[in-house]
Amino acid sequence: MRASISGAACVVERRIDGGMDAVVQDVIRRALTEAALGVAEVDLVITVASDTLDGMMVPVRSDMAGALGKSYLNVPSSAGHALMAAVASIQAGDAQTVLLVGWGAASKLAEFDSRSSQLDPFYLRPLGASVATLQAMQQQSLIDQGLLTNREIEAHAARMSEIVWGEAAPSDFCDGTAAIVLRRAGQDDAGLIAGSIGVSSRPQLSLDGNLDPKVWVDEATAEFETDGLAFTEVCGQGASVELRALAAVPGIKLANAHGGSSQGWFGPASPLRNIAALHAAAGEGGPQYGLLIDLAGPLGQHVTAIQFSAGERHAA
Amino acid sequence: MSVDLGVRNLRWQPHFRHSAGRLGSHFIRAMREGRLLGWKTPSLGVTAPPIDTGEAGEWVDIGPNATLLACVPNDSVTSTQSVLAMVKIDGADAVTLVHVACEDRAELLPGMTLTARFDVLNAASTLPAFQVAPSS
Repeated sequence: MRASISGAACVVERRIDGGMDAVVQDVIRRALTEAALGVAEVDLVITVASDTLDGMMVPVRSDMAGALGKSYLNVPSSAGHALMAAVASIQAGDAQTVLLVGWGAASKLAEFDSRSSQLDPFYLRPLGASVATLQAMQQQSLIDQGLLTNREIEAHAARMSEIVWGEAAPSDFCDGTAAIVLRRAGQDDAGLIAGSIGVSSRPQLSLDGNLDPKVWVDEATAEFETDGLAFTEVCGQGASVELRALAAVPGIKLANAHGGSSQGWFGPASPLRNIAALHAAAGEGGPQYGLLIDLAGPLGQHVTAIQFSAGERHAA
Repeated sequence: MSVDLGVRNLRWQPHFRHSAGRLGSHFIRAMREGRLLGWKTPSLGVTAPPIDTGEAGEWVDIGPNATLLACVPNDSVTSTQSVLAMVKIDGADAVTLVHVACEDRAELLPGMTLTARFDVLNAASTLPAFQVAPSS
């Protein structure tokens, strides 16, 4: 049994005032409407949340995602892991219809980023490294090695910003939500169908000192056939990690052409936005065979790579 | 972080007190005596601070010099130890994150040699800071 995407919707704003409830519910309604399903037909609700940003509140408020009275799973790590759980539950026959929902209000982090890492909680060394500090060290390391230039990073960020905001005004954080409806794929499915999934993870500090996401993406996609990919979407927390991840996939025709990725980052659920954008593009006759790469974690060190193909109706 | 936005930029410094465990305690005691030890195991090689893989291992002397791999100003620290660095301590197989004491970050270049600066009087210290080696 395979899992296909039959509905998707998303909203991203520089800042969503007045609470997320109504926005989340509207996005879910739109996704279910497109899938021609009611919430009663959903077997399993999966939410995406991070334990450093909103991981405590999302499960508590899962009722606003339609989880009340249903099988429910919160995945506190990444959108890629959550999508993997959704696909696995359908492939295993545990669910026929899964609603995957994520939201985040990361705009508050632009003023003060409360995420910091002791890096070594066992010994409690007070390094106190913030996410920005770690990302800056990674970026500097990639530049020092000649793998990237500041000009390339700025150009990529500007292009992603154009996709998300319609203007080249890079920003680090925003608010947003996305909902994806997955169903057991049938003969007449038109939606994207999830195929192979690969994962790779590193601790906050890779023991070998290599901070290059390309190495991790190479691991996650080692078993994939990447020839002839029509699209590749990479979503991370920074332009530099996305660029290095794209370097791992040769011969891409459309690289990050849809989602906007790091420039629309609203938390760990952000790659759901890329999926929603890919789904919309596929529905308009866009590319339907490709790869989504979620780079979770401040350094993009938790990689999930998912291959998508066209549904039977489009592939025919 | 910006004062202009009216943000109250408060910093909490919680106090922790707990055992560092069998390997960690040995490592910390040696460090407070001015020695850097690495824990050598078949799967990870030499790690410092020690990583317990569950395998049998042995202690080996490492450092005090280290090679600088990458560094960046640490916006969470406001002392002269303001640089966070990834280093490879001589004799270790895994990298270590440390603070580097320096006045001018521009003098820190990848590949240069640093040396450990042990603070034996600081009972809270669990890893030495590093500084540019005199010969660099």
